[in-house]
Amino acid sequence: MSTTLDQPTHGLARRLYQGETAFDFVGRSRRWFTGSGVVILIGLIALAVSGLKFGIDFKGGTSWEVPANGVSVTAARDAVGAQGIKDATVQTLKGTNGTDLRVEAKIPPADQAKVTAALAKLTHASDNAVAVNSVGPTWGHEITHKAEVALIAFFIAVGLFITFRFQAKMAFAAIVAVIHDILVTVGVYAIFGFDVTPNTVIALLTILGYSLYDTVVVFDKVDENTRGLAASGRMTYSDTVNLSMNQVLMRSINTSLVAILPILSVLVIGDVFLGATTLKEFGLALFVGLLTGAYSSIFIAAPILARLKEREPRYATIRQRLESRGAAGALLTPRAAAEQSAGGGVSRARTAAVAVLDDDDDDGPAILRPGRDDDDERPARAAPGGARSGQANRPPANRPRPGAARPAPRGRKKGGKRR
Amino acid sequence: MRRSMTISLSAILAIAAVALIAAIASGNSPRLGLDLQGGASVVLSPTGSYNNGALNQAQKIINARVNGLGVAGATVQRQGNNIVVELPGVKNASSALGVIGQTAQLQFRPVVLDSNGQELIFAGPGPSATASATPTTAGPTSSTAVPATTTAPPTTAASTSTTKAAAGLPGGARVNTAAAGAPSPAPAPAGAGTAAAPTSAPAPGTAASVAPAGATPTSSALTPLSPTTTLSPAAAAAGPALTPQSVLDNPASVDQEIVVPEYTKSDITARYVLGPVIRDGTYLFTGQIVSSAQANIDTTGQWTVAVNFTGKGGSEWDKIVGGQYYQKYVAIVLDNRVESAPQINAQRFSGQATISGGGSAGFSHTQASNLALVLRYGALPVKLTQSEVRTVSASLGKASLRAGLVAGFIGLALVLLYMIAYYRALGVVVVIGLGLSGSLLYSLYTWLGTSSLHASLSLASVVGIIVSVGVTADSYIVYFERLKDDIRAGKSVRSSVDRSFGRAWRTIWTADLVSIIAAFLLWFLTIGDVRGFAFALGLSTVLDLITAYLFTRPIVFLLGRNRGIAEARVLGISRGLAAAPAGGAA
Repeated sequence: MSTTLDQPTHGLARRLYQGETAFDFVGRSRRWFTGSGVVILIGLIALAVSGLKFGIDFKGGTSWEVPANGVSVTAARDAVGAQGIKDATVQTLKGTNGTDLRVEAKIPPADQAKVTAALAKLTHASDNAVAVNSVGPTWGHEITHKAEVALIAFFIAVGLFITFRFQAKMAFAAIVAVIHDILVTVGVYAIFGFDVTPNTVIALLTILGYSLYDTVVVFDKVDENTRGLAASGRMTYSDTVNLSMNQVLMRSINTSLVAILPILSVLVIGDVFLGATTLKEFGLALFVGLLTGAYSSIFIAAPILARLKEREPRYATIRQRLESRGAAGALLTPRAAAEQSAGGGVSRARTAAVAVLDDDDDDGPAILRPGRDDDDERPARAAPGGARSGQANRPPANRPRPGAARPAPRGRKKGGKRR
Repeated sequence: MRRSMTISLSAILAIAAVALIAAIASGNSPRLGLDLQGGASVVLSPTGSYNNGALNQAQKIINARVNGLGVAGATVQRQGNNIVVELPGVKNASSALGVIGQTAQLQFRPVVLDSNGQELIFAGPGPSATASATPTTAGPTSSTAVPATTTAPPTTAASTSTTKAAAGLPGGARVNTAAAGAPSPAPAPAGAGTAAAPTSAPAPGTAASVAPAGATPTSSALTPLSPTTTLSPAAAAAGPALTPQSVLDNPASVDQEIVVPEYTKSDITARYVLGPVIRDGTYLFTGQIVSSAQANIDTTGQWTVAVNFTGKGGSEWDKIVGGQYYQKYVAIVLDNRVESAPQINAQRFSGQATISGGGSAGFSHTQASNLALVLRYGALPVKLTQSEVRTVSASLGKASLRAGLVAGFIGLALVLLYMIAYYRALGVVVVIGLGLSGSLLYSLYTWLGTSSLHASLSLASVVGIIVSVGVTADSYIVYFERLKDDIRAGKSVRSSVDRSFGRAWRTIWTADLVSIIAAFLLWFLTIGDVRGFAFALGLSTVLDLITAYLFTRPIVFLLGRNRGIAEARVLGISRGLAAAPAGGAA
């Protein structure tokens, strides 16, 4: 993903865990945007070509499901036909106990009762064993319309809330990210031809909520950092955003995992226990949506915000000044940032300790890992107990310090002592 | 500080424990949605012109019909302009749903007999037996009978009933003989009823008379058909034919003679043997003959109901009612219940009539208004169509519930295992915290299910709750990651716990507020399953805020001060926060 100065022995998971990542999320935003753009474009093409597969809930019509009880599809079709319904589709599906018959026809709710009775008679079941789902022709429009109204109201309310709580540009970026999620999810549905049901709509709305929730958590961190670092003029806005992303990265991964584990369980169990039904409908959209929701808050919302903010004269000036000193584009790891703030804010000396560049990599700014010189300057890297319990000696044993492989960053930083 | 933390922690744990015990002890459990317990639901949407008052009235009428079905836990709710009826575990689902939304049930029928007690009820296998068809067989037959009722078979039914109507005494010879010994529709025999129950008070709205508008009621017009009595419980129980259930299960045909009750609230106050719906050829005397009706005060200071007939209705009324039922009694029947049975005191009405109450007191304002409403709107003040009908078999519901629960628990177990592996002792805090939220949620759903909110757990709300596990766990994660940051900055666990919470709390409430706004808007603006989902999400997010502040904060605060726990080798907090680089990540 990004270049770091780490050695191969330090796996990604470990660096994440230790807060030692310094991915350049903003600098490579063009990549993320392109990637998302391609996915969305494919989805839109699929949408234009094959469209979405709307169920009877949107088109109107009736479906019946009843345990087949040995009745063949042909027999069922005949029985339904005897009720004057010629265009019914009849199929079998895996049901709770053995096979179910599923009949679908375009008749309004008022006319469903006779077919229900016929099917019950045919399969020697009671009326109550037939599951009926019957929807009037305008009902789907009403549901959709209401969902649209709710969606717009939701955007306005959340936009206002974020503007009020943070700032307008964050609201804009957050909403762009959410629209991104909707487009991706709709695209996935179009590409794979999944059935769109009211449950899909619910799932989609969930995704919006979740995606915004995630974005707000990320922006809260950005907001906090920009009040400090960027405002003080020692870091560009983009760098601050990058730091914030790296700081919340582990949280984002954890939260996404925690959110997706139950969904995955719903998806798998829904399929195993129930065949293709409600749980699966929910699970599918949520699974796709949660993934893109977690992705968009980091890879879409944050870079958009950074780009917007860099245009503000105040941050443009900071960037110019830092660039002229060659100090822009320095990426802090969360750990380094924490260490800096250890002794009461970002002191000049500490800033110097991290702001380095090793810009031979044109893929993006290189990343600096601050020296882990725990002997002298850092008061206590670990909790008091942790250090005492004999683990303080482990890092060197486990892994050579970055400083051992590279010249100690502090020694060669360009912007280092300049202040 | 420490003391307030302990208090807050004990308080929330005590509340959760008490709530859970109370919920379990009450013997209730959360109300399950139809998709989880089986049953039927119908969404009725208004068509044509309507207003809010009309919809409210329609909801009331439907509510009365649904109550008549006797389905435990049935609900009738307004969602926007729609009326949503849910009948959990109902038998004969589709026919029940059909009956609920029917419209043209306001009928005008001649009174053949009235009764003051069981002894006066028309007995034997006659038309009353038809009405008393057993509920079990009623289902399929009545569902097919419904269209037949409203479309009125044009050939035989029309001719036979016309002759019956012409005879003025619908029904067979048996009715005639019975009528001979019972109060016939004339003022004089009314005394017989009075004798049968001399002490009884006239039932409100029962006795009434119809006079042409503007005409002064004569003394005979005020003579009630008979002062009705409240039936003894035994008598009421003796007539299974007349329970609301059977009436709804088997809506009597327009050309059948029926026995129907009159109610005040739920008490049967009288029973009537009524002839077929009055008709002139194919023109039925239903709600269609009335154009408007209002409650007025007449010159004597009594409440009356002024009825305006439609053009056709007015002329038919004069022709048939004025012609054949003069001095007789015509019942206004809604949903097979007698609303009023006034005597006809004129032969020419010219499109207007006044109904005045019987007895010395006449109508009360409420009675007059209600009768006017019934006449004005027919059975339902708006035309409702079924927008959505859904029935779920109980076995499918059970399977869904089981799958939802299994999926939920497996998902939850995975989350908890991950949390413990990652955060160690703090992971255990997450486990306890989720247990706390869970028991609060269970209690709240149990309680809300029995409240007027009728909150029920549908599959959509189960999914909402599963999703909220992510949001809830995130509050812990945000806090713990923040703690991690502070500890990396060289602070001790002890000194970080409170400071970190302060900052994490801002993040948590900000993000949770977004979820709550989303949930509220969805709940408020949408219809159907989405609402259940939104409700679950909103409720669990609010609970998340509460537990974060009242549980997570104090427990981590207290744990952080306990050196043994903070530094334990395997489950220690420091270890969970990677304060010591001990590996074992993710």
